[in-house]
Amino acid sequence: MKRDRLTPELDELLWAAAETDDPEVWADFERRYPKMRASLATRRAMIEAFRKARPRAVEALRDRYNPPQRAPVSPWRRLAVVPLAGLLLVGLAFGAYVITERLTAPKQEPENSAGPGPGPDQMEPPTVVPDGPPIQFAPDSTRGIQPDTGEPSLPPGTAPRPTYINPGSISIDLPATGTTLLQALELIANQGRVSITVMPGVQDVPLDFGAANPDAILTLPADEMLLLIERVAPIRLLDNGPEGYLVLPIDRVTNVEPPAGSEAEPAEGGPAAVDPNGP
Amino acid sequence: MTVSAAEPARLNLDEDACLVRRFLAGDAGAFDRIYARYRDKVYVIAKGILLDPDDAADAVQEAFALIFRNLPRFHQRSRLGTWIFRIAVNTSIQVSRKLKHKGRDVGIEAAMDRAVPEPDEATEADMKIHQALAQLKPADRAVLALFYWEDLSLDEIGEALSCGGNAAKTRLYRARERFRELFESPEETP
Repeated sequence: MKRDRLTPELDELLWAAAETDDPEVWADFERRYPKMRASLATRRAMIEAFRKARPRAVEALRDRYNPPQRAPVSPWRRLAVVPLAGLLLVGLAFGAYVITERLTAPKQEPENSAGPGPGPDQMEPPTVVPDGPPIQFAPDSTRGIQPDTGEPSLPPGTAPRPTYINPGSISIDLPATGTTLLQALELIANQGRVSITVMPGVQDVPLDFGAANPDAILTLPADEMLLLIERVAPIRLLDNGPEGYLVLPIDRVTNVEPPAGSEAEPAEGGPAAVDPNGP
Repeated sequence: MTVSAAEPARLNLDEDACLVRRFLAGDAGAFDRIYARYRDKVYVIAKGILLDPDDAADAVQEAFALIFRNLPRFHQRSRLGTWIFRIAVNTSIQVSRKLKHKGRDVGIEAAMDRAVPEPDEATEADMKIHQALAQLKPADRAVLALFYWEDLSLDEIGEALSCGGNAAKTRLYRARERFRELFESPEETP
């Protein structure tokens, strides 16, 4: 059967008219295209039959369906596990690093505790001579280092011949480090056979003579040794004549009138360089 | 105050979005609701493509299994219904290919036998419809089912078939012409 070929526009218009449910559209199309009335009726019937042939849901579907028991996890939630796992790994790595570092680190703390001395912030403050009677360092043959007088031993029963010794001329051996002010004064008093009176308020500070060799021994006459100590310690040294030397704290010097003709004038400038191996 | 005609559609879309959110939050009952809303539509599409009721039911089960697994990836860039229809079409076409490889979908006669409705319900028009459908390709049947049975627009059909609206219009025109030729020439079919 030969069919009339329709233009695409008319064919599309024919389908549009056939697919609608509006009778006015059908009537209008038939008025405009009377020859297409049969085609419109055929297509209307076909479309109506096709629409009526829409399948109906079957009850068998309910038997086939197994409702899920658990909703699947969203992929975004799964991705959230990644940074959490990364953080966990970083934490484990850091913990392992800390443990390894502690196990492999050299034991420095015991060495530090067995060091030469406490740190600056751990040093005890220097003791201060309390108010009250002053400390008297007098030459005593039973205390301290006995001075080497160079006198030969006498035979038994022989009285020693009296000799005059200038106390300031006796050499004093004093360690360059590790000695405090009071220890040094006591040592000078014993070795130099001079009397030293320490007034209240004098701080028993460690003496630092600036020696390059910490094991050096300073050897000086007693009076020079006292002058050297006066330069490095906060004290004022006063020559008290036959009574020996008077040691005052430096903040009380202004209240003390130095005796006339005192030889112990305050030294100007810093301490002189001391040769620990010198005389 | 007037209510626009688009109000019901928007409400349905919102309900779909709400169901998706509930499902992603772990509410398995939300998927039951989605299944109840789209089960018949998916079956209609599957039946229109596969023609056999049992094959269509199998395709529905397989399609909803896919929907269940892939719903977390649905980012609501399109309507849930259109997304479900696309899965239904693809699943049904894949089932049709599997049946073809198994030798169940090779002959037109066999297809027509499966497409013919129950004898007590069948009319002459139904017979012609199913015989014509059986001679179409599954893709053509899918276009006709989406357009005439699910009343989807050309843009929605294009989205369901993973093509544009213009391509969907072309496919619909060709499928409709093939179907009309088969429908109007019953004497040529055995």
